Amino acid sequence: MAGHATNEGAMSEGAMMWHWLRTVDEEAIGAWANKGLLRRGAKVLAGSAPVQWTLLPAEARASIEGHTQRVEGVGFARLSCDCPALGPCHHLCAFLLGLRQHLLEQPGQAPDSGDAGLATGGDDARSVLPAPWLAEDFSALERALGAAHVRRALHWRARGIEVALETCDGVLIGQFSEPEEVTVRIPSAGGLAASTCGCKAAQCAHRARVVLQAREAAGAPLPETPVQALEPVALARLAQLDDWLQALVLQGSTGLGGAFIDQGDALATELRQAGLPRLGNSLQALLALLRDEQARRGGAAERLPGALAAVWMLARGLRQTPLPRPYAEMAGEHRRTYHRLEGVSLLGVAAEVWDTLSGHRGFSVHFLAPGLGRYFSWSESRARDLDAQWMAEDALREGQLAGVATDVLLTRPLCLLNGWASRDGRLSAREGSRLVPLEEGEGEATAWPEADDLGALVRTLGEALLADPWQQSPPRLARLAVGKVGAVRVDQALRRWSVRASDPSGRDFILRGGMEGFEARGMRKLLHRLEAGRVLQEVFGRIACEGGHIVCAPLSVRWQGVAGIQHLNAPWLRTAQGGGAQHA
Amino acid sequence: MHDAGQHAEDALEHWLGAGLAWLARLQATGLACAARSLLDEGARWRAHGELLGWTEVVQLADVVLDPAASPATRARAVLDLSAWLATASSLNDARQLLG
Repeated sequence: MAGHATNEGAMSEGAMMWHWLRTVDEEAIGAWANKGLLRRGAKVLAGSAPVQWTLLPAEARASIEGHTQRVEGVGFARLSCDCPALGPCHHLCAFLLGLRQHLLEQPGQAPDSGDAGLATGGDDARSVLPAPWLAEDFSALERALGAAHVRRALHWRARGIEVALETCDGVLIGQFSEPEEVTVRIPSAGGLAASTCGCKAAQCAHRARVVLQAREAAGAPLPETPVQALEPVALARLAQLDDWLQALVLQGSTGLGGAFIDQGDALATELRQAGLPRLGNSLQALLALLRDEQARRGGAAERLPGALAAVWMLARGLRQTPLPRPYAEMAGEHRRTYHRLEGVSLLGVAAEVWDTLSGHRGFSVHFLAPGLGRYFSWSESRARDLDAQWMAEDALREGQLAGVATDVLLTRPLCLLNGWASRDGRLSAREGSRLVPLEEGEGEATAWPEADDLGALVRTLGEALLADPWQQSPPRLARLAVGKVGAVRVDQALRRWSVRASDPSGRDFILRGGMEGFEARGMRKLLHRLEAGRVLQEVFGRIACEGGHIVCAPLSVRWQGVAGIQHLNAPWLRTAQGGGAQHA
Repeated sequence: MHDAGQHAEDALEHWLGAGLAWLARLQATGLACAARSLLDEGARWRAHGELLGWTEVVQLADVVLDPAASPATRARAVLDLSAWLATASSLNDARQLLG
């Protein structure tokens, strides 16, 4: 690491080096290299002949396995080995382990051995050293940390990202849980030059954040940089978004050109890349409505002001200092952030094929996790322009999740032994996922689980809306028991159909779907059976609140007196509960 | 008393709905080429808002309807107005859901 924010004023570089070498323990070496190299180094050291050490006032040398190792100052950057490896190697691990052991066993041999106290490397010695991260002059620390890293750490501070700090045996240890899980170690012997971080970079914002927080806790001066929570690239994207939104308002959505919408698409991607996924997703939802409106799909125009407001409110809030709401809430979370699931029981409740006006088509299979009381979805999709041969229906027929075929996913109870899902319930099909079909009656749900409580769902939606009126979160999935069903109403102008319904306790909701594409197929199936006098027992679909009413876009249904689930958008699949999938 | 409260709520809900519908038409047409009749409709809606006491929203509507203001200023006022009305409408939805 360039620059040394150590205790240079109190001690020469050579003396500090010897002191640092006495304090480099296995934990520090493992954090700098890795545990594998550390183990290999320890093995080499134990199995080889005694190492010959050359100890000079500002340098130490040794030869291990025919290669020469050298240290010429404080910090891992001052180590070298003439073996072909780039960066840390097991020789250097052996060198550091052996040198420390040698210095502690034979304290009189080190060139600084006349310096009583420091030469022992014990607790007394550590207490002699001041904490270098609390140095009066922050500019030297800033040089050692890197000005860009300090700026980033100040942004993290403004966002409320905190580190769990502790000082142990003269080492300042900082543990991050966000933006990623890493541990920083800064020893008082050697300071930043001898520090390590789990990100493995020689300089990083993690170290800078640890130093800033430690200084703040100790009342030491901090840099005076005025800081917004957002980094310059995010602020630049917000300015672009401002321009784009103003242009949209001025020119209107009716005669919008494709290039303008594509520009919005690119901006949504750039917002996500700039660490603002919620804003990127809100913009994407607005773009989907604009495309729907151009294609005159289901009442998009009336929903535009709400979508526009969601984007604008978020963008306006993000420009404020301090932020009006917690950064994590305003910035959102990337969908690619997946969390591990282990031993989760799943029941397939719906399969659908879909296409979007933005040129994507795909399929989704939805699962209920009875033990968790929530739903998960596995999807695959392709851009039509990039893969014209790919057909969503065929892909669904032939699809496999963790080696389990779609038919089996929809007919047998399952146990996800190991898998990953995003917070919004997207299941990853990544390697290492293990899904096991169970026999009927195995797992958590021995009988078909009761439908969701509509009253509880209404309360949850209402409370979420009160807490965050600008949310544009994807509709929730739910299974609703059906009591009464009204007459079917078709709105040709908005190209959608709707049915007023209620659950067995009399709570009202609206079933509503589109009349285009795959949705039209589902509508025909559903309406045909309703007209034939069949009685709906349960409906599974996407739930949203519109104008104070619960609206369900159905994906699958169960009929009274008929076994199995009817998948509205994938009608060739009719899943007999407890039996095999049947092709209609 | 209850009837008066209900009447006020209905009036507010109607005014919010009318405002969002007007904004939707304005958004479809585009502020730059909005017809006189559409702007007059906005002026009537603004006057109703003044009677209901929504001062800040009325001030934003004034900017939207001000032909002397710059296009960018008017566009930002449309966005702010959308935010006001959509937020009020969402909170109203939440209130209805929670009974």
